[in-house]
Amino acid sequence: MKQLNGTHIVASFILLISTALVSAETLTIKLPAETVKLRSSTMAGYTLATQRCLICHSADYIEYQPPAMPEKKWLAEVNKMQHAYGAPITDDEAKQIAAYLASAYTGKAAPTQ
Amino acid sequence: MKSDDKNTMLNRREFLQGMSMVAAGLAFTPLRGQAATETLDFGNGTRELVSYPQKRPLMLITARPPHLETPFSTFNEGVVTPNDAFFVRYHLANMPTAIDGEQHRLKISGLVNKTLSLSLAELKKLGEPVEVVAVNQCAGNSRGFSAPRVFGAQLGNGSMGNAKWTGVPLKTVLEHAGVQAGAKQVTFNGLDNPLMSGTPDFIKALDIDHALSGEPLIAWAMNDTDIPFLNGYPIKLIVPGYFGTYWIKHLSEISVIDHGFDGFFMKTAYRLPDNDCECSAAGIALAKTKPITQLKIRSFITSLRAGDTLRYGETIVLRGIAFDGGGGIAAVDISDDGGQHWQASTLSKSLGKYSFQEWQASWKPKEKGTIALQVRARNRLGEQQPAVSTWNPSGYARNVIETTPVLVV
Repeated sequence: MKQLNGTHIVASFILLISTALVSAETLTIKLPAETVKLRSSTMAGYTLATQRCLICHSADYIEYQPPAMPEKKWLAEVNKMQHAYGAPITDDEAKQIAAYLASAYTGKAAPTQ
Repeated sequence: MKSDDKNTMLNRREFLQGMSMVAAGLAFTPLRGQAATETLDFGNGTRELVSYPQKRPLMLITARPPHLETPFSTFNEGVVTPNDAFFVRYHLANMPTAIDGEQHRLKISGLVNKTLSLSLAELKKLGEPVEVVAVNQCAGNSRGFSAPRVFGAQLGNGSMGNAKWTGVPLKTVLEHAGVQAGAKQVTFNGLDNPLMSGTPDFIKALDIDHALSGEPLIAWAMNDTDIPFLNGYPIKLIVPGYFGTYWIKHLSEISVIDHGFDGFFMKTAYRLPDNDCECSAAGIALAKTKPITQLKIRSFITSLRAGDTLRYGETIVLRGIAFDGGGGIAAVDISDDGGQHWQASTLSKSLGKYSFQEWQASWKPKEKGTIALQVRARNRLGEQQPAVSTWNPSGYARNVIETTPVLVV
């Protein structure tokens, strides 16, 4: 029993020291929460964009794009995500996402609230 | 460059974390409109000012992966950009958020006599530290001004900065490992990783001659202190005169290879049209492209903002910055008549050929109304900024003569 306790105490002591050593050298950051959301829509592409696009990047990547991009350019961009960046999107889903993006973003001002 | 198994496991875990983050995000009410903002002079150009770790409030371009831009007024504070104001740009969402500087290792492998795994302390012992003041500019800096507009991070002119970097020459590290015959390029990787297995890792390559030229550095200090986490703590590759895409953050792996590296971020992305003007016409597919490399010559007025009001008949001192890819700034001129006449400025003491070059010029408005002030730089190679902007599909390397409209009353 004593021995177990002793071992336990020594182990805790070593753990304490090593924790202190590590924390002294470790630089840790906490990034601010994301605030921009995808513009809501009843279109199927909105749900798909929420599920797929936001895996790898925040919604502001979309929100801050130029205001006059036609649907075919949105589609080319979604296709780039699909083929160059490995986004889990089928060709049919890519079309639906592009249709939503063009509908919700093209020619429409950013929400101000 | 991990083994496939490990990569898949990590990606699955991070993927699930990403999914729960998405789910949690749906419950939040956005706070837009409540924060301070800065507006860039192009459509959809309003950006919030947000405080990130070790940073003063900067313009939030994207939150994940983070891209923060320096508000342009900062460049009038001095020729060296403070660490807490320096822009931030990541490519991959699986970025580190905790790094133990003592445990960090830089691995050198490939066509070398001995594979190395160096701690920061070991790196510092390889030779006398060297310093260089150099501009780090994002390839897409000023992309928002592209006409016609292009997709990508919609940046104003503040995705650049000038700092003093301290480190050891890359050459010293490579020679310590012993570069073997047949070496053609050297690749560089950092601790940031893709989230999905199908996403390419962010790896860049330099030709062996450039890597051994003595110019690129492995830096551990930025403006005489630790490199901020978001700028690449604890070590960063510094490639003076080259666009920021080569300046790998959290540098962890160097590999000497016997061929031209064909990874996505060299072979497909970060490329310019392969012609004299490095430009193309919108809507026409490019026949040939090449990797973007050196900074193009640029200059800015920093002491005035577009729309500022000045008094007729009063002489003021205009101040600003100029830089290029290392040719060295020879002259900076200003014009108030659409470029018909140019007035020479006075260059301040140079901090080196890779640094921002400060300039000043006394100027007196000759008439009332809106005056378009222009600034133009020329380097020692005779290169000068163009009067008309060129265009390329990715909106890279903008360097047209800048115009600052002011109102004289």
